[in-house]
Amino acid sequence: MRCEEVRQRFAEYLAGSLDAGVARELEQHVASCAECQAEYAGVEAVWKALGEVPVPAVPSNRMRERFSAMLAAERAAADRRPASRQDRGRTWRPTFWPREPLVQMALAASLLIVGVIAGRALPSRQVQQQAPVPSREIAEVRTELRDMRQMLTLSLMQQQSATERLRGVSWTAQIDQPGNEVVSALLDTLLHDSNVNVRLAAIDALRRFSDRADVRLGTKRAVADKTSPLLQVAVIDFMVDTRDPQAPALFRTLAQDASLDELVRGRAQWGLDQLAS
Amino acid sequence: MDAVQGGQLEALGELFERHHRQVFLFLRRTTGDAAIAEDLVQEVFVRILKYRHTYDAGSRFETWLFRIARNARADHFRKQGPSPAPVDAALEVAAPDPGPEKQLERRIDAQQLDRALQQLAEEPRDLLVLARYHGQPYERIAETLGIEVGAVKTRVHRAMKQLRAAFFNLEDAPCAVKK
Repeated sequence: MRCEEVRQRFAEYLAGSLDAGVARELEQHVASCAECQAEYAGVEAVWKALGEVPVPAVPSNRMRERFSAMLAAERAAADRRPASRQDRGRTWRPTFWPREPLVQMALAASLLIVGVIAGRALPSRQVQQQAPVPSREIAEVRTELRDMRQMLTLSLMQQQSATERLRGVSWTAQIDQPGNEVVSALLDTLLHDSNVNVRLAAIDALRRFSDRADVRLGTKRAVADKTSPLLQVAVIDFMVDTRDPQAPALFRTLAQDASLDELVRGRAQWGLDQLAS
Repeated sequence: MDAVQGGQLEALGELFERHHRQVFLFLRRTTGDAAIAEDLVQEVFVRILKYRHTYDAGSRFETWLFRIARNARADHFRKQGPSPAPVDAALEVAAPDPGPEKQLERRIDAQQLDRALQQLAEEPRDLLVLARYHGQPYERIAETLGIEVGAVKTRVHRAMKQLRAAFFNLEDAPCAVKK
């Protein structure tokens, strides 16, 4: 074996996939050739280190849920039979604490400020017995807390990491009476986010605002976006659930649009059936 | 897969259970992004369903599956714009290589190595991931990538050298290599 040939087989040798005879020949060559020995040492170090890279966590449950939703929609399209909404569950459960250090710091700072304000606003038990806490101050603390949660949520939704943006979208559900900027950020995410998971989460988060005209307009625009059939299916479901008055006309157009994915056409037909019943 | 082709859609569930993990890991390791990999797994199974009639029953399913995964990934990055510039093959020569003996004295930081892997061009990255993590023999890698077996041998070796060069190029980062 020539040096070049030997070196090209190092990876196979390390993987244990060489024939015993070839492997022995390679070992003999390496033992007698200083240059190949040095080259082998380098390749072996990298090969071993690659094996030490931790195996990434596999989000099987979440993927299975999305897969089931897709399959249910496909069955509905094939059978022209409504698929159950339970099959379409698309939940994701963010953990409480964000991963981005900047957001962690912002959250920690906010909690500290809330603590200080709460400490000032709420007198000690002893004092409390003499003078009840003015409800105005408690209301101020609550408003402060809501504003901070809102600020954090909006900040999370701007992060580069899709996981953080997902977390931001989920946090909107915890804000009482969110301001217009939260609804606008959710609509912006629904229409423009680069990650379909985040967009799917946004359509779920927008359900509580379904009576708003801007949300209805946004969902109408989202259903026309052909880049993600999954999102289109989710928006159709949204419009069915919220009984959007414009849905029937829109669904008729979608069901007949040959350029659309089969899944979407089937779901639009299903939507029409649902709204007619 | 025969059942799926025959219209039994529920059989796709079995394929999903059997293969989603390896498809996810391949995409996660070659994109470096779990969220993108998750989206792409969904896309892969949508494509299997959509293009089920194009599958040749005589060929190996895994090969077809990995081809779909590579195409889905390529389409994703085409839509999203170019990914970060891959490491130039010239880096192999230009990177400061401390020499194999010294390398042996050092402990290679696995996560830094994973970052270096993301800097390789698409083909060498796929070659290394398929060979190292999926234990695929060169014949199967050749089928998936649509190249000759001889080319796989040469290119895996070259990819190992590029990875080593990319790794030592990242050495400036704190704690990259611990002596």
